[in-house]
Amino acid sequence: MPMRKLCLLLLLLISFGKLSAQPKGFKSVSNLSQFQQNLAHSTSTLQSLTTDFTQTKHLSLLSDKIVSYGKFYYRKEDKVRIEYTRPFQYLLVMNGGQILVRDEQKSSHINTRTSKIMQSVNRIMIDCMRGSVFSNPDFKVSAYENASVYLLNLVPANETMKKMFSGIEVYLNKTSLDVNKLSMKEPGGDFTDMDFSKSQHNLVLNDALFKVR
Amino acid sequence: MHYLKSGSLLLLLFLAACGSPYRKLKPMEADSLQVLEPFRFQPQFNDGATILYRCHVDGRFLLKKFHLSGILLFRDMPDGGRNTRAVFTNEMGASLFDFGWKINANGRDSFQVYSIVEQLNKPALIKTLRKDLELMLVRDLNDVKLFSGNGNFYYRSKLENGYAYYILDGRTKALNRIEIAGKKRVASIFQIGKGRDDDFADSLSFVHNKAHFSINAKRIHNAGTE
Repeated sequence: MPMRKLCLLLLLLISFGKLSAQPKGFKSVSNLSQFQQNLAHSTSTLQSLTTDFTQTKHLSLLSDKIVSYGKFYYRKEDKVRIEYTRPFQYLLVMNGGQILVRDEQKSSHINTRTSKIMQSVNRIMIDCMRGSVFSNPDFKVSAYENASVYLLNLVPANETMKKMFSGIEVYLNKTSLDVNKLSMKEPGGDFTDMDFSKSQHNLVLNDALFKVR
Repeated sequence: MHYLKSGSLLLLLFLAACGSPYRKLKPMEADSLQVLEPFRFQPQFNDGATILYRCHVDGRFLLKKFHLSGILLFRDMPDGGRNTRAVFTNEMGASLFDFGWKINANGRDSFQVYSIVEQLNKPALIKTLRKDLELMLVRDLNDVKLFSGNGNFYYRSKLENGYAYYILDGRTKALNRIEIAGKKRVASIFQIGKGRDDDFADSLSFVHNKAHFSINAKRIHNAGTE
């Protein structure tokens, strides 16, 4: 009898753990392989993406927000341009294994092969656009859904990523499968949301936008 | 012999040039300008305002140049206890450091590192950044003495090693700059565009001659804060 009670208790605890890990208002995606197929199909037709974004940095202990605005560009297979326009100018271009960073004063080039962190940031951005996020070895990915949104919950799987993030949430529009929002959570409790709006698919994007040299 | 004399003279001139720029300062009676006057340059937060700066850091480490940028935020906590935080983040939102000051039970300032990324978590760097920000915020002054010289007034505050000088224009009594020095100047802090003495400046510049790095910050008026 005590053994049965213990098993029951353990089962309850495990169930509670699973329930509490599930984001509020979401349930696990019922047919994960179907969802992955749909995501792969949708992103395979995506040649380019142009979207505005609003970035909001939430400081956990200060109830403060730092808001910045900019434009996000993606071109298949691995070109990303993140251009902050307000209240400061900052440009990040990822093209293959190269990254260009430019602020108001200087430009610098980073080879992602020599920087594990930048390599990971590069990969997350590209994965979100290509729908290949499930195969990213740096994160354990769980998928949830509600009536209008899919939520991909990325939990760091290695120490390097754990130092940078406690988790990343990717919100996808259920109809278009566009990324609506990225939420990057830091180990200290701060988090940064990137909300995307005015998305335009498959515009012709000039090579100059993705020039890193 | 002539050469020796010329050489000695040159050596003397060289030594004089290398000497402390503060040696010839004349002590003044503290009351003539009020010893606590540097506190009038303490930047005030109005109604819980958050102060943001766009920040660029340039320097040299082991002969290699480096450059980084980000956003520096100052915030007065709403407990009325002169509890101030300084948070530095990169453009993409990742926190690089979060420092805080508050008045402890003894009425003195206490400093706390709330968080700092591994790459910046070096005691010497934290000490330097803490000192820079404390002097700019006019948090805690020790054994303040007043001097005059070179047409300026100098409020000297004792540091753990050396002194900090708040240098006031002799005519306008406006804050010209802050210098950190032992026998020689090791760093200067410039604040440009302080509308009032107790305003946050439009731009800040921390120049470290000895540590070979500088921080330049331009205020972003709260367009980016909600």
